[in-house]
Amino acid sequence: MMRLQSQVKSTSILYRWLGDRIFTVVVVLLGASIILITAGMAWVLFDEGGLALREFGFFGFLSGTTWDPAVQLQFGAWPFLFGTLVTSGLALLISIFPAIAVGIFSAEYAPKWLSSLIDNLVQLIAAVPSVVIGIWGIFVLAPWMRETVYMPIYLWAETSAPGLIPILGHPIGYGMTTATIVLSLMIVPYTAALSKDAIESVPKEQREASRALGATRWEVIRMAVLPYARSGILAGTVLSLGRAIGETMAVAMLIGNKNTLPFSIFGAGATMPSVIVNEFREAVESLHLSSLMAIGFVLFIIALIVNLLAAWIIRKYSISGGKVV
Amino acid sequence: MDYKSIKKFTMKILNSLKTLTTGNKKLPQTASGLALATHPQSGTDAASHIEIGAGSNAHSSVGSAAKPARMETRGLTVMYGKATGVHNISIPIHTRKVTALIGPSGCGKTTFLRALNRMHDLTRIARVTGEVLLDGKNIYDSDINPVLIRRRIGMVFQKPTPFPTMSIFDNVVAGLKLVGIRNRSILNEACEKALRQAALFDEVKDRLGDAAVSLSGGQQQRLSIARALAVEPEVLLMDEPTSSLDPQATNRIEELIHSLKKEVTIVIITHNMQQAARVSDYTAFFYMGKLVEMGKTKSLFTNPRQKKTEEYITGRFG
Amino acid sequence: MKNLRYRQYRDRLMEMLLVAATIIVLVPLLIIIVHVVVNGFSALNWEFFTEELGSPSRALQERPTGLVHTIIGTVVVDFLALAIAVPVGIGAGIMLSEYPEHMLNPTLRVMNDTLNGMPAILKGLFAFVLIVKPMGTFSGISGAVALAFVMLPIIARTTESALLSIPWTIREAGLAIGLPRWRVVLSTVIPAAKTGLVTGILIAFARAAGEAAPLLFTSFGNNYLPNHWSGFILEPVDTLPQRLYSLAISPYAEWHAMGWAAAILLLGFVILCFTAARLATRKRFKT
Repeated sequence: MMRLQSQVKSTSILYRWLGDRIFTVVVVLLGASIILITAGMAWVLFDEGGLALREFGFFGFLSGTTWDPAVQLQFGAWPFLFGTLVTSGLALLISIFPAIAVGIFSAEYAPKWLSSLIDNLVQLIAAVPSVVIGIWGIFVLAPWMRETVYMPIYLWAETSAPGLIPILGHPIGYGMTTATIVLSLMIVPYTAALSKDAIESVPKEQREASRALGATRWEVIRMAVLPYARSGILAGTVLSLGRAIGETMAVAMLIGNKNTLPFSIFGAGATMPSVIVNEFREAVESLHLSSLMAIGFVLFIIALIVNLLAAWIIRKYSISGGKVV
Repeated sequence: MDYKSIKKFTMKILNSLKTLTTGNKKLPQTASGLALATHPQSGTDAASHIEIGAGSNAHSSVGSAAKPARMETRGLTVMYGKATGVHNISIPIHTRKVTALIGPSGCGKTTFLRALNRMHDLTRIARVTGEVLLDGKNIYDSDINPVLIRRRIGMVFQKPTPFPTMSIFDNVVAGLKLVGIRNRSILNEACEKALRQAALFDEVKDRLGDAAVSLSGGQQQRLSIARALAVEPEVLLMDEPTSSLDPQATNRIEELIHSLKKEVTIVIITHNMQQAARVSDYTAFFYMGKLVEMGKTKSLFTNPRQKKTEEYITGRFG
Repeated sequence: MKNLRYRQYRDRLMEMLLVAATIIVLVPLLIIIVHVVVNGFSALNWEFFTEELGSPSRALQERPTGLVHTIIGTVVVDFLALAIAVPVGIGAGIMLSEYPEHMLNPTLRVMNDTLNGMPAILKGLFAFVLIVKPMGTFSGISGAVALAFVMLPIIARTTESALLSIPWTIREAGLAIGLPRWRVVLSTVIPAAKTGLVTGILIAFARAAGEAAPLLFTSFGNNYLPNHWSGFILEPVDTLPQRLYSLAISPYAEWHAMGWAAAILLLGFVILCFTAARLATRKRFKT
């Protein structure tokens, strides 16, 4: 009896305390590695960009309008910051209402089979890699836009409103407008899926209560559904904006890549990710490399702000259990 | 202000609004939902209210002079796909009385209740056959608009359902705003009246602008009742309105039901036999999707005709 | 005053607007897919899968070229990334769901979400500094690390939600019969959440497999097969998304056609992963 007990004890040391100790240590180490990666990423970008940030000052770098890696070695991020904000902001403006409409239609109007078809399509489209959209943009969208939109407007402006020419820019097909259109196409599925999630989380009782008051279908949506889902929709929109800001390949392939201001409506431009893609592999000067890293650091900070903002919106305005928290 | 001057005042507003929007003074009906106690049609008999469909906005008032609609069901059957929810129910809903629906869970009483104001229209698989007659007219007829039906037959749910982003005031008048009433004094008046009817006014009169979700559970439920009453329904359907409330709040709602039946016909589902006995005038007992028996509450509880009813009310199952 | 006819007219109008918006949104996106499929299939041929790319002159002189080195490189880099990301991601997911009381837990959650929200190109820059710089050369392994950074937060997040979907009572039942915590997690919770884990890994894999940005500064690209298999890990390696980018911006029409072929291959692969993930989820909900 005694022997048996001691044997059980000795073989099951893993089961008594050691196993849990080891398991906890391993799991916490793996978890901590993600913390290290994220923190490390911020530090590395800051550190590598340090040369440029020291040379021009953080705000000097942000507001500097000259980006000249060849002659003056003068680096300012403003053209790319401007390009990113304009393309992403406009793309969001273009896509937000149609995308929310898709969410509403799929959640509230479409019969079940159609709703799941739309959902699957949206998911499928969200999964298409950025470079694939990019190649479509280069060989299909850009030439088409040039022929049917940019050229006619440009030719009209040439004869009747020559003052507009510098604002319109050269209609080569690759430029700010093309990039904005592709960006808005790319974030639509994202916004639509997140809005639909928010709309579906509205309790059935809310809908029925407004129905019972004699509301039509649209009035139910206006009165009960959208107010309840607003924080989710808003947070989804902010996250989509973050997605647009960080979108790299398709934009780099379509924006025309011009690193000096002024950008024009049809003409070439650049964004923060696109300039990194275009110049990083060719950069030889250490100040040039450091400036690109510094742009990466700025991008990190913007993405961080956007994500924190979305999380804050959800926490601040979310409605749970009938209480506004 | 006495009764007459209020009546005059409302009539004036009503008429001016009507001419503003329709440009046609001859329209016989008033704006739906506007009916205050001084509805211009109050006093006319119920027969003039039959034209509920066909674009007419008329609905009768619950004012003391008006007579609420007569309601009954004939052979009402609700199917969920192949499964039957309730089968062939024909009962009268007595005017300005409280009718309680009792029965074990899953017996079809909620299904039946929701068929009374066409809430099943929302679930695609539910199919309703048979008739629900409101003043002799079947509400399932193709020329009837369910939106109007739901204004005449209001509903209160198990859980309180305040709209969380709206204030107390906006919650109460939500149904009135739907039909485009923006006049502040009309809304104020209607809000106060509905809150008084729901016995909530004194508790919230100083904070009508507060968020509705800041109220307690019992207050939220009375707010839901006030919201349903604000559009002046003739019939109020209540689906276990006290099931999520504590005994004290339950008590208040029961008192409320008692005073409301002077003006509104009430159909209430309850799991609680004592509650049915306390608040209702008539009781219908459902079992397995069928009506077992219906009668005056007193006689049903003291002298049930069916064995099943007796077993249920004495607590042998359910 | 809004009369009923106006209200119903508005109801109908809104419905039509919503339908119109849905069509307007979905049609261009479908057009993209149709274009890729049509152009891609017409550009695919046997040599595409058997030959290496070589210099542009090879294509211009109509000698056989293909992307065999790219396909192998993609497989090597993607699976290396998966091998790095799966253990770490699942470990972090376990920590998120099973150790809610640990003091690092809130930090981990914030950091994981932050990492997930970061543009992939920054992960490429990070892997460049971390591995390419010390090694002194672009390499397959650095590309794998960059892609692992893309997969990690997704796997951690999906693992967490898959584990949390298992009722807490199952854990308590295990603990109640005297099993230690690690045993409960490994032999009851994780097997029960298996489909959820696999789905998450597939989604992460599909997301990372389509990324080109992190690979441009890490695995860099290569027109030829390496001389030795270790070249796939230690030397610059070609991968599909990055090669697709290079082909598309090249000045040669022959390479453009190959770009479309690469696009259909990449799209097909990504869609396959997503479909598998969706099917796995659906099965889980059915049973």
